[in-house]
Amino acid sequence: MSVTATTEPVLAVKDLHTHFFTKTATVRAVNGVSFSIYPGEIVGLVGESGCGKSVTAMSILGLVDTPGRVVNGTITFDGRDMRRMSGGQLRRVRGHEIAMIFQNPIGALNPVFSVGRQLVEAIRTHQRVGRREAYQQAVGLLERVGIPDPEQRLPQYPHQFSGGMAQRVVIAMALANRPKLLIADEPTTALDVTIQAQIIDLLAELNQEFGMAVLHITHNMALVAESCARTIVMYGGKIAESGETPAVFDDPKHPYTQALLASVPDLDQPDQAIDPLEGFPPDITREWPGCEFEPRCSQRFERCPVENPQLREVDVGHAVRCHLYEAAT
Amino acid sequence: MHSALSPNKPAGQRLRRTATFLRDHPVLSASLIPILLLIIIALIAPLLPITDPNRANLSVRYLPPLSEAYILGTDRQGNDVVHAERNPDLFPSSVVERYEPPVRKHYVLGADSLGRDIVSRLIWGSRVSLLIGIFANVAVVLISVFFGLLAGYLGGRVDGVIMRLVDIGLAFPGLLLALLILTVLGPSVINMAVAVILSSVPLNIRFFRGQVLTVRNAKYVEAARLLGYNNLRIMFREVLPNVMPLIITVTALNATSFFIFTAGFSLIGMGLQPPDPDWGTIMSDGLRALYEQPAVILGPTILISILAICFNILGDEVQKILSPRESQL
Repeated sequence: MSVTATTEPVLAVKDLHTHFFTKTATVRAVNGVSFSIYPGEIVGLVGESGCGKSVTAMSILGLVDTPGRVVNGTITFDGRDMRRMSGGQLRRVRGHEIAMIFQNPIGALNPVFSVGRQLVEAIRTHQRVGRREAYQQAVGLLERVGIPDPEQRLPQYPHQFSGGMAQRVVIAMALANRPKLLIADEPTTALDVTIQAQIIDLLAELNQEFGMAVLHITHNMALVAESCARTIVMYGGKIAESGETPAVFDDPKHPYTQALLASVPDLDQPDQAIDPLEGFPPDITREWPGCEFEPRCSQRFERCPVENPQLREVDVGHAVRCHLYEAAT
Repeated sequence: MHSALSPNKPAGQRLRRTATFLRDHPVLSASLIPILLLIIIALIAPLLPITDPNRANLSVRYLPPLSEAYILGTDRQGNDVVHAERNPDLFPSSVVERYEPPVRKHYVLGADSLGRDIVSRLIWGSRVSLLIGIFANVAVVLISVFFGLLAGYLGGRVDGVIMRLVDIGLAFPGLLLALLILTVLGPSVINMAVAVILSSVPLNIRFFRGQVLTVRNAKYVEAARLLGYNNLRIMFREVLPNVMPLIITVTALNATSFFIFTAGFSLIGMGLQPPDPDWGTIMSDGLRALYEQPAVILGPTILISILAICFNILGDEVQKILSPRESQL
């Protein structure tokens, strides 16, 4: 779905800073991130490990644990300021209006309760329905996410499910209360490739059917290219590049995005050597005077180590945080 | 767990299911029998045809097990006068009303230093020992699980305060602390229970807190927070069931040590005061007579050993059954 100026975003994050205060250092996990997600849209959030993708998600839900804290920024969900909500208000949003699924679906289910009981409880936490009706809903949900024999499967325990089936259960739990936004944090990382494709297809179908927006967090570029309308690339706690997926993939502007795409093997040219990105993620315990990517960047120049670039729109809806493009605008 | 979803079954069906369950778990049933038998005997002690446990008859001092004596008659207070011989010439002058012929009386486990029936003393004594062993246990588990959950789940300052208090408690050796409490409060059944509870709660809190710490970082706890469940609910509905196996193991171990503890108090004269019987006072009596009549000490030691073994087996079995993985494979 394309972005139209008239619709209000379901989620608007502005200048989000989430820092972790340890005894020895302040870890700036998320350091000035802004983006919006519109109703019914699938947005991919990509980046390497430790770039702040998951912390961004937890910040949105108000679930950053000590010693972490959201120090600055606004998170507007459905017109409401999430950072001003009380604990009770936040709990009514979680699992009801914003649902989240993540890696290792079997671990996300409580091992001592049957899947059915967990589904029924998830439904009854946010809806005023009886046990029987919640059970009927659970059957319908499992059917919808493609689990055969839901009545047989409901009394079973999480360890009796395969990874792919468990992820379907987790998705069913997330969908139980028809959320407006689903945050999927590496939902397919622990699954094998064929199951990955099935889960991604399922998410796309459900996105169409329920019109819920999806924030898909991953480090798998191929998944993003396939399923997301828009792509946000994060690096060192900041957004490096964002735009419509075709624009980002066909015409990557940021040297980091270019390097990421170059390091993905190309199936059409199997003999071509892949070009891995040298170096390590930046040390985010210190405030960088310049660009965080500068030490690994192949196109750096004098300005890069001394001045921090700002995120600028270089094309309609295509923004880059790099000094290379400042002259262009 | 399916029962949580289906309506209540009639009582007869439930009874039949219990019977099937016991038949399917023979080891569990076997360990339950001695425990239940002892509890039932302790409960119906006043109805059993046994003599007054405090009734002394010096003529049957240290009567060996499986021997007989004769009730020659009653004295002025209406109590039986028992003698090892049926020779009427030995009739003490206290006999007011003679039985002709004298009634035979069996001493299955013999008599102690004052000629009291050991079977009767064991049965009456089991009431005190079981009361403390079971009720102190319930109290200890409730208190320690509650504080262990609070400390482990909430962490931070709550954890700090609870664990510092625990450290203070642990600074004293358990038995010493218990004796200290008994010395201050004075010996009585309730004070014995208080001493046992206060001296074992700190260690138990530490056990449970440790287990809660490992469970609270599980993905399904995070998933529960994402579903909008509140802390109280997560603590008792998500974390607690996963700590259950440890609770059961610890309870079984506690039961054993509490029997030994209470017997120990009475043994060294800090617990129940003579002539009131509990297993400890019987043991202390038997200890003094170890050379003259070793059979006296056998009763309580055998009973404590049987209970200890049964409680340990029971704990293991219940733990196995509660673990969904083991019970279904």
